[in-house]
Amino acid sequence: MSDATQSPMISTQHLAKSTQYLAQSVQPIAIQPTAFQILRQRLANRLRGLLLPALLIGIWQYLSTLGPNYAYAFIPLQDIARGLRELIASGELLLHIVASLKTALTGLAIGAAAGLFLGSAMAFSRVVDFFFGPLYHVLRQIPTLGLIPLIALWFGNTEFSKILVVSLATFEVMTLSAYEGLRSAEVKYVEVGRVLTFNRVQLLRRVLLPSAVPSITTGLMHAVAFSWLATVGVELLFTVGPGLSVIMERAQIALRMDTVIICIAFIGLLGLVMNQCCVLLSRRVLRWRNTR
Amino acid sequence: MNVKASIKRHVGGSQPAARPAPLNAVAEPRSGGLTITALSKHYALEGEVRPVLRNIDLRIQPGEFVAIVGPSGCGKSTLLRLVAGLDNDYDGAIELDGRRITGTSLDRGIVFQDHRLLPWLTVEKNIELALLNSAATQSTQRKLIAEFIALVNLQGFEKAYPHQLSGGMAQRAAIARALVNTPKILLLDEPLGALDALTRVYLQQELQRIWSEQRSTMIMVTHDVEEAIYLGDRIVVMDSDGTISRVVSVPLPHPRDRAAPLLARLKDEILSELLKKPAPDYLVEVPREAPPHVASGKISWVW
Repeated sequence: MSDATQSPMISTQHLAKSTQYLAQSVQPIAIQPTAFQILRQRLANRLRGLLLPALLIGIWQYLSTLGPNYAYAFIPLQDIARGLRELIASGELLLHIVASLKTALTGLAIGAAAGLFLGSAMAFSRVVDFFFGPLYHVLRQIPTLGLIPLIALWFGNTEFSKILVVSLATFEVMTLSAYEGLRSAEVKYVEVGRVLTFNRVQLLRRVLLPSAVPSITTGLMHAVAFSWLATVGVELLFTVGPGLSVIMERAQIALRMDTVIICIAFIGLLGLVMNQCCVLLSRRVLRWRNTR
Repeated sequence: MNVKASIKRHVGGSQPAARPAPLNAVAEPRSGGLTITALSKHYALEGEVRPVLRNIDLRIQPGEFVAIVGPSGCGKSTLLRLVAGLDNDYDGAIELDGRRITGTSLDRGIVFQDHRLLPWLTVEKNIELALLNSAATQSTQRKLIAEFIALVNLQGFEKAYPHQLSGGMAQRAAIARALVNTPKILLLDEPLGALDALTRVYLQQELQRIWSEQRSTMIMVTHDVEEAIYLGDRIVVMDSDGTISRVVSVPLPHPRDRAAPLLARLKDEILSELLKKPAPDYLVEVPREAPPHVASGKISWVW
């Protein structure tokens, strides 16, 4: 008995410590953050992203107050706001935005459809690949905007020329992504299809096309970016018809810096919106992928 | 129906369309006897001809579980692909129930080493894909899918995508997909090779249970001799030059005890065959000459 009381295992000190640990373990542990905490965290994340732009805008505004030359190059925010109100009130902004979007989306639709068609034809038919492949791969190297003088000569300064250039830009990207996507369909899945006695149509629809979807979706994202790029460029060079770049160029000639800045901002904004739409679409379509 | 039948004829599969399984499990063996006669295959590699299979003769009874073991490169996977119909360039004959096989067919299902579930489809849709060319109606298909998901114990995971499943679960789904057409022969190409040891043990038991419930003929290629002995009725030992060196029968009933002494002895025998070492003494049937001291009455060790 005396041994037991002297043994360190049941000393009163140890007993006190173990009771303390026990008490602590019984306390509820917070494993789920509250809704307020989640919102606060999300707000903090967003604000952190806005910190640098806000700083840059602050520097811009400061620079615009330094003198008349500075005020020309770094136009103050009040003037930009005034110009924006003018544009919106006169309805011009909406008109031009709609026109630019129409050009971009029409060119995208035509180019993407043509690209998908040719890409799949080249992937499936060796004959088509032999005939069109080399020419395509060579023409691919020419940047589309470099073809503008040629197209202007052939088709003149028209809406058709604008849409043609935008279509060409998207066509190149989509053909490649469709071609690569279909050709890289893994043999192992084709074998599964063969073992399940699929005919050619079933193999195409059930195995080849779904395995090409990731590549095609990525190609579509690039195609959207290229179509917007091409639209902006083409509107600068073909000044027929409304468009964001058209008013931008007119404003540049009239020395209206505020309109130029507004147009750049909207070009960027619309490009971002279109990209986000593509991202959402690809997330929906590719939810079977493990992207962790 | 006519279009489907004509497509099947065109694609190759002169076999009749697979009939859907009776919904109560049948435990007696169905048809599915395979006869392989003088099968040879060679590959042309950089101008020279390299034989992969030489003169394979094998007869497999309906409802049998045959395991094929052999060193890597001995052509066992090639043999399976030829039986499945993925490759049609060979000499010799492969006959299923007396009829030559031409191309792939729903009568011969195959489970690959990598599960090969289509990653853009859920488990349910993957199994449904196997029924695409079968004659079953929509409601029968749904019942079959549910039945086979239950057979492989994957209830609750019907809507899971393959990337959300573990290796063992994905392989089980692949087995369900191969079985849903109740093929006459199920071919398994090292199905458990890519899994960890514990999952392998579990799936071996599952395979044995499935086989005893389904009783389709199963031909499994494996490099694991223990697995072959545990599951197989007959074990075909192949040589590295593409021939069958011997066929070992395992006369134990299922379910088997892994610790059975006969299994251990067979494992040693087969391993020594594969490694070309002389067999351990206790496997030699022929009695050896008696040690010299027995006649004098003194005690001595007798084998």
